[in-house]
Amino acid sequence: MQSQESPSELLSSEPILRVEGVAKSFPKRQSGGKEEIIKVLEDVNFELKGGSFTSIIGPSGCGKTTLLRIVDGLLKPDAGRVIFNGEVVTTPPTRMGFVFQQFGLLPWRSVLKNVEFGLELRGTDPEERKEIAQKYIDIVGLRGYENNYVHEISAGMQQRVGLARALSIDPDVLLMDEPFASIDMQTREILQRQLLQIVKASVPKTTLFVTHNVDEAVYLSDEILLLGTHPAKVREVVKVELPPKRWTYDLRSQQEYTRLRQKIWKFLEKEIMERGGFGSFDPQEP
Amino acid sequence: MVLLIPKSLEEGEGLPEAEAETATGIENPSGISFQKKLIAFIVSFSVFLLLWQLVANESGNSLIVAGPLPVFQSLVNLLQNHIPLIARGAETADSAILETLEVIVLGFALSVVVGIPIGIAAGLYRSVEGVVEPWVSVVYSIPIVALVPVIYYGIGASFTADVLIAFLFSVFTIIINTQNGVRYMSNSLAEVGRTYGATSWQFITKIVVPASTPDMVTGMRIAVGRAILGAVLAEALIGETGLGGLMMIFQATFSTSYMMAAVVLIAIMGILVLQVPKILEHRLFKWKETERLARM
Repeated sequence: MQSQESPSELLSSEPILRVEGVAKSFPKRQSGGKEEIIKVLEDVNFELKGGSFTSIIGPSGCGKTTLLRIVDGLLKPDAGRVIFNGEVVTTPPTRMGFVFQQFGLLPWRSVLKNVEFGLELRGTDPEERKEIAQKYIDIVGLRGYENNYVHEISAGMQQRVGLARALSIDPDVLLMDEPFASIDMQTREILQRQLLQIVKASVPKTTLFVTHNVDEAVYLSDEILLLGTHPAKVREVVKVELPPKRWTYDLRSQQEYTRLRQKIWKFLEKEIMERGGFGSFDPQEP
Repeated sequence: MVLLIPKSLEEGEGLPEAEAETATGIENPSGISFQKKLIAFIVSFSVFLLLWQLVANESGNSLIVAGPLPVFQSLVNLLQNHIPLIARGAETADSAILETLEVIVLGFALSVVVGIPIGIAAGLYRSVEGVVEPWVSVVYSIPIVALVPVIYYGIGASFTADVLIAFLFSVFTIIINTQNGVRYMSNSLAEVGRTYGATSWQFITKIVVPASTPDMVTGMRIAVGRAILGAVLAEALIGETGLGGLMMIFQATFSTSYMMAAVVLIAIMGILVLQVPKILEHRLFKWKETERLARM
């Protein structure tokens, strides 16, 4: 559906990643002991253009994370496929970086050794990987914390380690699964700005970002995929046409920002009300 | 019991010793914690000596129970290689200590080398778990002592038999703890490995092993104790060598205070050997420091 729409002038028109007709069901045990098959995803289609920042937003529990795990090859779809750099994804591709909601750092390793992890698995020479890791530690602003253990630094810093680790393998696509969900509001805003500066300027990356936070999605994205629930499907692709270098001006005061925010929230509200078990409750129009 | 009460609830009461210690105003926290432990040990040890003396007085027969003082005297004699005439021909204490130590170290080392890979495999693969688990339960529920004659007839009264028994006593503890550590490892760590393209070997060496090391070391700590038990038991029951053998010889010759001195030697050896995993734990798990319970 989105293929008919013209790509934003900022982005290259070549899709780097394409999701085609992906479906996924999970068995769920009912109280009677019977198993019921729950359709989580059905016929999900979208594509990522090189250099774009795309968010997936939907009500909580709608299958956003499942979708991201399928994109990364951690889960096999029941139907459909993911094509990345011209190849069908079956196992986690080496040129995809993943940032986890719960950070996924190795607590027995220092910050530096955590960032080196991906390179270490690839057998990069120790001197070289230290150099590369140091570069990304500097980019995410953690110089001076190289030798700290994970538990010694704050949640916001931990997620920056997670980002540096993902960037250090020089991925073509960066996948981020609600990376700031467990970080406090103030830190989150700063991290969002830093993230945008990094993936749009310092080390340009194509990014696929899962979130349930409307502000976050509008602030960061070029495109927002609205995911409906039960089963989840891309209902609409919202283009965010706000000037680039968004970290340089007060985006949140722009009229377009407010409009998009409302539009997306309306969609989410409807999805949650209709399918989230809220029954006939009828909210007053503002 | 007192140790489990959070500090906030315990303000102003608690152990008198602890109060006295904090009142001295020592700044170094590790110094304080060491002193607390030392005082607690001195108290418990004094109580033990007292009870021991009471029991000895009660029995009124030093051939059945020797009091702390005669045992201490015998221990000093033993360490100077003075042995009662009646038990002449018994091994000297230093060679017995050395031999028992060898059995413990070899039996324990073998348990680690065999137990850890099996534990990891049982933690990772259901099929291996299916093979290992029933045997672990069996060996845990039957007295391993019952296997001693089997081993004796199988390979004879030898150093190897002693090592094998020390091994059998300790290996299952290591298997179970390692398996648990792997089994309850966070799946998100496993996913990190997969996402970043770890091979099976890298997954085991770089994720599974470090993640479950704390449980492995816990297993080793208990296993050392069991290896000591196995070694002494094997020595006592077959061949009468080492400290276990010495213990039996003294018992047979009614040299009760010497027999008990041998037991004390075994206990001292146990305390010393048990320090090894503790030191290991301290060095390996600096990263776990903040996740630990704050103690008084």
